Amino acid sequence: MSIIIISSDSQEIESRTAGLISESLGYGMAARKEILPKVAEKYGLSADELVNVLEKRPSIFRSSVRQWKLYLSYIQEGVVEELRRDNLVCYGLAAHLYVLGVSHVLRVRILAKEEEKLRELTAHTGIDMQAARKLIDKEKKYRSRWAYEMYGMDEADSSRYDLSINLNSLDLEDAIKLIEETVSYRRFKAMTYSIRCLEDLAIVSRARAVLKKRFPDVRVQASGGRLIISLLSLKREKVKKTKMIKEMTSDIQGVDYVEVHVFNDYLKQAAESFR
Amino acid sequence: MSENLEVLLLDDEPIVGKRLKPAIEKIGCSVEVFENPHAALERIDEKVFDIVVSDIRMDDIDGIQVLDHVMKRSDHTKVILITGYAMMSLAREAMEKGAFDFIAKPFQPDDLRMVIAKAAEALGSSVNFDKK
Repeated sequence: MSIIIISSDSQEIESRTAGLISESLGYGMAARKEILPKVAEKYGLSADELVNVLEKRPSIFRSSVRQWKLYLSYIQEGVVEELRRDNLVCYGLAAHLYVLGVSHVLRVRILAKEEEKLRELTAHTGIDMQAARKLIDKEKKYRSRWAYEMYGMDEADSSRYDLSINLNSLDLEDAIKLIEETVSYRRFKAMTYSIRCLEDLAIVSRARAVLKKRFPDVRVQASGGRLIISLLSLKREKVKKTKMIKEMTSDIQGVDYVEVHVFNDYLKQAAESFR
Repeated sequence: MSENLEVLLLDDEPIVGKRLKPAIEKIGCSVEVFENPHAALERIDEKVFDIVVSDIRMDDIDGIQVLDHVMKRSDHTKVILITGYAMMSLAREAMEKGAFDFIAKPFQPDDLRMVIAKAAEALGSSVNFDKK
């Protein structure tokens, strides 16, 4: 019982690798086409809007970072819910950036073959090799900025993964064998502790999806059935916000107790005092 | 294997043994409780237990060392590690070294009983939850 999260600098390699592993191990698949339509339906959005959030950075012409993060919290909720099924291969949903600290999740980063990416790009767009190389570099930087803005992480940092594979040195076939062998290690098997970590993450994800619209800067943690929420607020709004948050979260699946910590927002308070 | 599952419970905090012993006995297991890891290892050398439940963080000898010791002594025994300082790297290390399961404190007695039931099943035995 394990979960494999595949991420790559090439969407094509990501989906090809995930498909081959899923077929070979008999694992289910958690990808955009399985998850995004469900999330979109639940929140009255279109799946294309959610794809856009996963691929593009917000801009002043399109939308705010807050709205992006709200939509990402909806996606996260849907993904983590799906991962509770176990024996899954997940890709294309940025799960490597938020499914952290769960020991039965094997996080794999695959670096695509440079030549192959260039060949594909020139074939698809008709641009020459030099322009294709520039475009690849530009996309890499764009993607890196997206991950940093949305999750504060450098997704190219190999220390964030259990396994990093460079396809400039290995064939995809060898990479698949390596991933299958690694996931068979006992350390990646589900245990009571890791299942609880995933349950806690599911509770956090549900709570974020509920709270982010009204309280965009809220911090959420969960331990067992205990939900711990922290936020900054003006002193006079403390009681009202605590009550509101408790009402919004007490019915969340898996939550037995809600703890709200409201800290005084001194900056906002100072700004108000100058009015 | 005797009719009752033989369980050794090791935790240097007396309250843990005091609380968990009756909880495990309720499902028909025989439980020996130890607070001193040295004494527990001596007992493990004398007798093959079906299940060893051990805390990880203790003075002198830690739970991973207990796990190593049990693994060398018998491949029959299922080792369940419990800790209040759970971390992903520690959990993975414990599983790789052969732990049957890894539980983070605090937990309910029922959580441990469930894991013991799974261990019993893996041993080809069963425990009686009706006795709870």
